[in-house]
Amino acid sequence: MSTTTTTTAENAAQLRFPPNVQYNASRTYTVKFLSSCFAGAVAGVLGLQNWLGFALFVLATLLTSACLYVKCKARPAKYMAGGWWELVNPGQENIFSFVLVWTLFYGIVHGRTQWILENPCTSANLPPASV
Amino acid sequence: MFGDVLIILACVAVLHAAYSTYEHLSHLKALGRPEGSLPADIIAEALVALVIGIIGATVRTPELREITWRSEMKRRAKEESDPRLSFRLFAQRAGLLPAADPSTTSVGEKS
Repeated sequence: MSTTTTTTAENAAQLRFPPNVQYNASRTYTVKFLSSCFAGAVAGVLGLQNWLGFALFVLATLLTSACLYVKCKARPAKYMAGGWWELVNPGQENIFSFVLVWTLFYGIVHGRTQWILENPCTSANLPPASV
Repeated sequence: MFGDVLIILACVAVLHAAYSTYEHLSHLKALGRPEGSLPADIIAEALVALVIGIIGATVRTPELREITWRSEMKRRAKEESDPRLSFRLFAQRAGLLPAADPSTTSVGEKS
């Protein structure tokens, strides 16, 4: 009978209960998604541009990590596989959600939506058609 | 419940800050003044909305579950893990039989 050798990573994985790992990952993803959306809304409302907006995203991510750390009762190893990076990362593709909501609110609040509503596309407004 | 209330509060605050900003910018545009920075109270309202939104999102999530097998086994009854099926143990837990007397249990049997 052949003996199988397991690495320490596999040993650690065998000690974890996968349904609970999945459950926690799903719950934390929801929290990170909501925080990205709120950060985007605030960045748009405040009219932040360029790196200032992303700085707000980083700050919101850090605040989310702090809240999740409290949620883990200061023992993240018991609730999250993957260590501190699991706590701190902003979530899969949440940066795109942030940019989406940021541009949405920026366009509504600081954009020229009112002007466009008041000045619909008439021949007077559009540039002349060129051949 | 409390988390949901916080999130709703944060949404209302964001929308109110957005509307206030829009009003402020329209006011500046009407006066012909160039855009300056927003009033401090609108900035404060937006940032408070962000903080409250993140806290509310965290509060409303249900309790996280521990990820070790050991913690999961704590939740399960002993019969599920003990391979030696014994009606006596089950009947004692169900209250059908009186609880085990430590002096009468045989060697190797846990009560």
